[in-house]
Amino acid sequence: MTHQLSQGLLLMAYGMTGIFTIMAMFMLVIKLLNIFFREKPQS
Amino acid sequence: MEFLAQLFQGVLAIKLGQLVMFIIGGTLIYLAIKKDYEPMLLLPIGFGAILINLPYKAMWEFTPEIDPIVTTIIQKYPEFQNLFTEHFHYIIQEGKALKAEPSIMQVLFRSGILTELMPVLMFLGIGAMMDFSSLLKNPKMLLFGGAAQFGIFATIIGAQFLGFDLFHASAIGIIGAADGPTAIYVATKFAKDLLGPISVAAYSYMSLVPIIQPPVIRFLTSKEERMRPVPYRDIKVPKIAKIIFPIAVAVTAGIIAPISAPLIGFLMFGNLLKESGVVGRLSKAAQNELANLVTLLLGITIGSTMYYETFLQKETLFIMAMGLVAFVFDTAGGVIFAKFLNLFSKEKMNPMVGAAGISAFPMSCRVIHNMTVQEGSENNILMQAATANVAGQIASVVAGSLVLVVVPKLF
Repeated sequence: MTHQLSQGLLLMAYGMTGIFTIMAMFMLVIKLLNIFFREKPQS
Repeated sequence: MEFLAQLFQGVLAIKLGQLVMFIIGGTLIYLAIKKDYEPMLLLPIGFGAILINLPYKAMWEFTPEIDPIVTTIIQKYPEFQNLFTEHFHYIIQEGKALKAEPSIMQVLFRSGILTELMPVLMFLGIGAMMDFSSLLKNPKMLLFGGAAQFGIFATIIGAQFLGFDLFHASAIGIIGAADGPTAIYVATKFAKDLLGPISVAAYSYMSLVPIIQPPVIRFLTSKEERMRPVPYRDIKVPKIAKIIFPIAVAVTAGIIAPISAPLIGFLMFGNLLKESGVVGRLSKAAQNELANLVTLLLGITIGSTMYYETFLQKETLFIMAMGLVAFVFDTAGGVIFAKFLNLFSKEKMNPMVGAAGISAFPMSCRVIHNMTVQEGSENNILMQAATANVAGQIASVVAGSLVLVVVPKLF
């Protein structure tokens, strides 16, 4: 049972870290898109 | 007498378990028609469950017939018996090899589910329906999508305690992705034997989001927090950004987690069709004809996995219970994460938005919006909740892919 719990907690740690890392990468992609393709205000 | 027995062979062959499955299938159809619970899926699943439990399993395979050539082979070379039974679906009875040709349901299951064709095509249709504009305006919301996947991992631990091995527990945990095609995709890889109950649980609980989420949110938030306004920046997103976004996401996800490429790739391909603006016919076909056709076949094929011998087990009850746990922890994960972020930010946000980070779109954002209305608040948080909800759709696919990558390494 302890082995299962440690396995589950390890998966949770890897999984949540992985999700947040990938979401942060997508955020970075959006930030870059917003920097490069920001619409210029019309004069 | 023999004639009568032949005439009523179907009636005589029926088992109590099959009658129970007729009731379960009928209940799913009732919920779809009367209660409007995910009718697009529960109705075909319910009818598929009835069809597959007809006597002699006629919708799955034709009555087995003796194959004289294979019979001769296994009589001469008994060591080949396993090869034919395991890989070519032969049954050996009294030294004779019987071949059961697949019927329509088995053909659909093998070609559409086991090959992952249907879930992936479903993602193409979903991608063509999605609008990432709000996410491009407010990318921080992606984090809420990530946080609301917490239920997946909490459920995996719970399922392990109920006696499931890590592969089966992971397939059950993915119910917490609140995303039918992802649940089916992972179950196909890790737990083909549990595909029926997992799919039914995933779709049932998605339709029960309006009942599950409000009590969890109320328990974790104060009235003041629920009444809190959410700032919203309405900036114009250039078309080029909308076009590059799906390509960039597909490439990024494919490089970081290659196993996610089929799911994210087709999701983003569908979105690119829509955002490009030059293939309107293809985009509409993906949104309507393709999505409808796949939904139709997916539902009835999933129903065909609900054969009484495999479905009427205590594991099915466990899976239904764990599905509820998954949705509760998803909601809690989203709300607690929003409250955690509030500790560090000057501009406090409404933590209910975190709960909308699950993938059940648009049910979850509607639930959050309705809750603010019920609280008597005049703040409109629908846009933010919808943005978190869209983020949840991406995050659920990422979570499913990560589980597929990490679990085999831990086992």
